Amino acid sequence: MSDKKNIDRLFQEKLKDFEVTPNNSVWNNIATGLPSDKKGVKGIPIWWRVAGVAATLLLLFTFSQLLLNDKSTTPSQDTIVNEDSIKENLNNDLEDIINIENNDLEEKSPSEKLKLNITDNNTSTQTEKHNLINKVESANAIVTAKTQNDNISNVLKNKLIPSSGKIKNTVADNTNSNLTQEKGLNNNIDKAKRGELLSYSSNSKTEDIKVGINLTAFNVILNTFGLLDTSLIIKEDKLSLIEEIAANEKDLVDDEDFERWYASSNIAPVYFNTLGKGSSIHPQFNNNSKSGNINMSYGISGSYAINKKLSVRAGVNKVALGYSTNNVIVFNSIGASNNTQLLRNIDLNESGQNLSFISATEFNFLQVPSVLSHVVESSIDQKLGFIEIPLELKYNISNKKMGFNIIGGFSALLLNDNEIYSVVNGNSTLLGKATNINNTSFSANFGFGLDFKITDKINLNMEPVFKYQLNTFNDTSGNFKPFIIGIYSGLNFKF
Amino acid sequence: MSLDQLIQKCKKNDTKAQSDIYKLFSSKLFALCLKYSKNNVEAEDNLQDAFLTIFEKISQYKHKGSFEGWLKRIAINTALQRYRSKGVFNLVNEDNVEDTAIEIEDNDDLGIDFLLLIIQELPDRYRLVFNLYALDGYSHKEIAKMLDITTGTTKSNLARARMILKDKIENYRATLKSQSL
Repeated sequence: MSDKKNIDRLFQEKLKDFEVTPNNSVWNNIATGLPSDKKGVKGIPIWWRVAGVAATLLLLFTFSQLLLNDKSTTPSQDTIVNEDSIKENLNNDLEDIINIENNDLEEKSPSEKLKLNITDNNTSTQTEKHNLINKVESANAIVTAKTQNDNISNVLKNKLIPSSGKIKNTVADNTNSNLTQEKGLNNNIDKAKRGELLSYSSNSKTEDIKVGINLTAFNVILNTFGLLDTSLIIKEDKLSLIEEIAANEKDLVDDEDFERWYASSNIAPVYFNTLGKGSSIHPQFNNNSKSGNINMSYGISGSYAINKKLSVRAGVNKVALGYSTNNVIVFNSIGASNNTQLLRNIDLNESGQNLSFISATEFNFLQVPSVLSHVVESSIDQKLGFIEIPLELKYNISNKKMGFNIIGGFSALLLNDNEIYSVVNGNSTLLGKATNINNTSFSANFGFGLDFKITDKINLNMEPVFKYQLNTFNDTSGNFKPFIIGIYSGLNFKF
Repeated sequence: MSLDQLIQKCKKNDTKAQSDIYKLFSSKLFALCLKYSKNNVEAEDNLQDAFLTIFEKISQYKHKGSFEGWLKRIAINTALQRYRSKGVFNLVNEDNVEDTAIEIEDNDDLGIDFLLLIIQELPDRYRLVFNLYALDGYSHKEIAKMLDITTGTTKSNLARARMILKDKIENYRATLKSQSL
């Protein structure tokens, strides 16, 4: 009733089918921690979503950098197994297998012995065997078995010993040649028997490890599937683990080997206009054509590379913007009482006080009152200047000769210049300033970046960026949706 | 739905598929976590972290080898990671003890709960080494690498773990015997 048993074996057997259903709260915690695949909420503009994602990412990465910094500086702790040791282990394991077979072959009834082991092991029921076979197949292991010839056991013994030595030395090689040699030696073996090749191969990212074993002649191998498969699967698992680790290591090594800090200067022609019909000045100009002006933006920024792909950057730019509202009829209206109402969002200065502005689109020419027939058609130019503080993420897609990046983020815009001009025949007159521009506003930014390497330390870059202004104006009419397109170019200095 | 289909859906962050995968494997993985942890709370934490890693990295699963094996490796790694960050492995090396096989009578009087309890009661490193070697088939060399210690230490830890387990089993049996008298 009671036999002495290896303590490891006792625990293995008792805990073999050990399963415990965890508390429901565990899944709830997991579910809340998982990213969701739900689509964005309807009605929220795409730029808000993009900007939101960018901001969240930025926060996450900033915090994770702070929190996980310790771990990332000790990459050696993640090194669990290296490839050399795998090979050695595989060698050892394979030798073990060979030794097992070899010992068994010395006895007259190896299959019985192995069957006993298997039964004892309790792990190779028929179904499990079947599963294991499938697993082996799926792992690209090819196991072909040869029927055993009783007469060959001595031959085998002699052959297996050298073959284990060979295997040890040729783990990294394809052992087809060994197979051929073995086959040559096997000439005296019944030709009906097939040479079996037990090969286990696994592709590693860095190296193709191929292990081939020539174990000549046993149908025993089929019977020992339980044993062999178990060891194969363990090895297979170990190998994939090793691959993962190798990949991690590679990342870690890669991560260490690049410049993290950049300083950049940039200059850009920036184009400012509105997406929809509308006016920042007065509702009557909603349908007037608007022409965007091209101005300049220049500034500096610093960036920090979180990893090889992703960097975060912040900077300061001075940006001038402007656009013209065309087809405006301007006339002198001294004494008129309601002139200021005509331009709702403008605080007119003295020279502007005497002028009235009417959109020419309000009239067709036949209806133009005679009193206005001699007035001059002009445009109203709005000029804005901001100090822009961008906070952006840059994701590198390709980093070959020319780097290609996607950029997303926010800018804070601090108003520092605000003027409205009337332009008549090329002469502009300062009218005043707009009253509906927030001193601080934000834009959502999205763009692409191209990097050209000049030297190891310096890159030339060009970045077309679209910036959608979220709340620059607080009282606009119609569908006034201002945006900026800038083609930023500059130099990146690594340090 | 086949397991492969579930995995594909999980790669697209399908919540239902994630829940199904959890239902399929949580009992096995929780048992694994229990063996590697010193109590239930820690095991639940490990299970939770392991599943978060699993769903995060499921796109890296290339269908090489069994999915369950992949899940187990992540769970084991999660458990090791916890001790790694605690610096458990940096203990001063104790005197090495010879790695000898220990035999014990098996007369079906030992329940799983008791065996689990005495595993959990082992000192952290002994518990990890015993689990990795005796229950999950890792070699001393691999364990040494994983825990960043020498194979001498893993062998010694394993021997000590076995001795402690044996003592506890024998004490337990002695208690049972005295109670039945």
